[in-house]
Amino acid sequence: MKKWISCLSSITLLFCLSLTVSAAENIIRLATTTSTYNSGLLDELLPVFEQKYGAKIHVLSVGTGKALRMGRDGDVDLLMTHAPAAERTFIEQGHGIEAKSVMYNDFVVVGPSNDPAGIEGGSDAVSALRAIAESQSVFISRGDDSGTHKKELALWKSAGVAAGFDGYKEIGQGMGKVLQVSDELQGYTLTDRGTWLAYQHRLQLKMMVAGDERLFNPYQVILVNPASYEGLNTEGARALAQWLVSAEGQTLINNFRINGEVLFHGSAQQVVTNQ
Amino acid sequence: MGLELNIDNLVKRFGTRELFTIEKLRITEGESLHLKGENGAGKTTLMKIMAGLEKPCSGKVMVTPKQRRWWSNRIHPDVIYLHQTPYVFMSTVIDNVAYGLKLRGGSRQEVKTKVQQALVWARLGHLAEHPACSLSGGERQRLALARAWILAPRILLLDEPTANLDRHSVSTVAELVRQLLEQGTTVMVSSHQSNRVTELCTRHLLLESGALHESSSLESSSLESVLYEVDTKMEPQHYVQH
Amino acid sequence: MDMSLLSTCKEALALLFNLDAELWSIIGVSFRVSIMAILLSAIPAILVGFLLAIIDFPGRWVLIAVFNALMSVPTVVIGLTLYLLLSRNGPFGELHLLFSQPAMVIGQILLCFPILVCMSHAAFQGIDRRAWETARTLGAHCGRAAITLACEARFALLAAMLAGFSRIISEVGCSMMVGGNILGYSRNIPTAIALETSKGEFAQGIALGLVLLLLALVLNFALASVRGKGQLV
Repeated sequence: MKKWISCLSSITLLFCLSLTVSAAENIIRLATTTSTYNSGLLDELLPVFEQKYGAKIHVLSVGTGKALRMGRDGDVDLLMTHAPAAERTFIEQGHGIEAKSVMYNDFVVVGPSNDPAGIEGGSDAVSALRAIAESQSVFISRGDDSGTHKKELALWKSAGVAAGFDGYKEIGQGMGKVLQVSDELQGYTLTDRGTWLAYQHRLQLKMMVAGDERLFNPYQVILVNPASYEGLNTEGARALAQWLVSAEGQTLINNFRINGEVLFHGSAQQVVTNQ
Repeated sequence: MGLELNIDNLVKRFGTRELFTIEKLRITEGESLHLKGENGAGKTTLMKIMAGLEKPCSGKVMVTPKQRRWWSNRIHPDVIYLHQTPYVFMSTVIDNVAYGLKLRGGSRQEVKTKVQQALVWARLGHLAEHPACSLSGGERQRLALARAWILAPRILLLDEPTANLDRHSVSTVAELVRQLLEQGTTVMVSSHQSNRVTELCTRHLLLESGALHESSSLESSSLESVLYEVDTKMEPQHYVQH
Repeated sequence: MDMSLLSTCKEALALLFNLDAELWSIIGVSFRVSIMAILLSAIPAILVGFLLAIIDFPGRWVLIAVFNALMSVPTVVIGLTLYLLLSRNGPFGELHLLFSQPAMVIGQILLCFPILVCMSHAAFQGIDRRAWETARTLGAHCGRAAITLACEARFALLAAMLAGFSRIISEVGCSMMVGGNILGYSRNIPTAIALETSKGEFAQGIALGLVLLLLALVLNFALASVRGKGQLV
């Protein structure tokens, strides 16, 4: 009996120690969008940085809305998001500082191969969405306040269509899940090109509309304002942000390929135009 | 100094129903008592109160000299109560017998020797390694006696020790009780009828309609004369040998 | 989907047997967090269950009913509550616990505590009153008698711990919320399954599912073997 008790307590102690060990390291918390995480870009980039700077990056992959909320609450050190309007508000309200443009890709509209709305090959996203609504086709929406969702809502607004027609379905999930659901339900959806390329080979969906400048998708990194909360790893986060826009980081982003296709374009040298 | 148990104005009620009121009872060392009474008269409750397992509504049970220490919530170590059907712990016979002694913190060797003695005394040696729950009713009663004997109690309260036993087991239990009495232990046996075990008692108490009376042994034996005769037909030597 | 169930399963087994490092780190996190949670909550919860069984106080049944109700609280609700408490913005933000293993442990403790309390309460209720009296009259003080009772109820208590463990090793909502699903740190089996399925990586999801299934089988066989073949005693 006594043996058992001492055995159990030593195991508990061991576990306690193993839990606290990792707290001593230089940990940077990065909240980012599911689209960048699921594409595999960060798995390529971050280990290089971790090796070089002896840091450990904890990636929280959530929708942009949740990421901004985490930043506002001080639960992360660095944000990498793609919703320019929301980011601007975030910074104006004093939650974030030192926004840097990192990279861009673009959104595309994908849909089933039988194309009930007849939009394949077009380059006008707004009229394509209008056609989808008018033909009452199925459209799957992220519905999770993510950057993609915000972009989609803005497009519906320009199209003059109230999102909520018969075939419109909000599923409240990440980008990959939305693509899967669209595939199963033979619906259209708006996706970032990165996730689309990563998922393309598993889906029967086809690319419908691309190349519209309104589909431009810029990514920014923003430091969470260290004035708001104590104990943030602002130094680490700043180092990471600077490394991402450095020549090395940008080259790695430009060289990242899925099935031989470029997903993201480094944009540190360019001025991002926000619509 | 001899041990003494004194009861003073003891009252036990369940809700509004009064079970019994006992004004005075004095039990001295070496006595053997037979507590008689119908089912439901409160024999079990009285014995549990005497053992400190239940609280009376008012009144006191005093065991002198006091063994209790102010920091300990143990009940008096010299008074042990045995259930009508003993509860056996889910382990071997040895572990059951050793239970109380281990609590007192004897050395391993000392516990081992005493447990062996107790097993021999209760004639359970051949069952030592068996799981206690596989024991028969008679064996369980002997196990309970061994479990108490090993602690050398000064007062032993036996609640209907023979209620569910066959005649042979009753004889064995009676022999064990006789030996306890010889060792100078005060034994109180509750039973609603007379039998081999109560026959050993010199003092008879009757718990009836909420009060406790002293009664003569003659009176008690005549009540259950038939059973008594059946029991006494057995030769004493017969059970001593086992 | 051109992937058949069979080929996905094959891929899953390959992942397991090739000792895929990422997969095993996920399994490690799961076990470390859940074992920690069950070890930390077991003794206090069993104690509460014991007190509920032995002490009669006004409002006892209310407390029992509350614990029973807590058993069925959705894990995400616990997760959300804990999230709001642990966020830097919340009352315990100073502890810097959100998105860490200790936060997951706390969440899982909250999840398994009511189960342990209710099941150990039932276990102690099932014990004969004479066990308590026998222990007491043989010289056990209250604490020691309680331990004796726990020993008597050991199989039921083990079953309670197993039920608690099953709930926390397989829950997604709370771990996802307060752990953050950080690879190599707070990603455990259920959150990894949720993520991999959303990424369409069904093979890894199934591999992890198999680990959970295997674990459940091993634990239940172990319990069944120590308690005999389920007969009455």
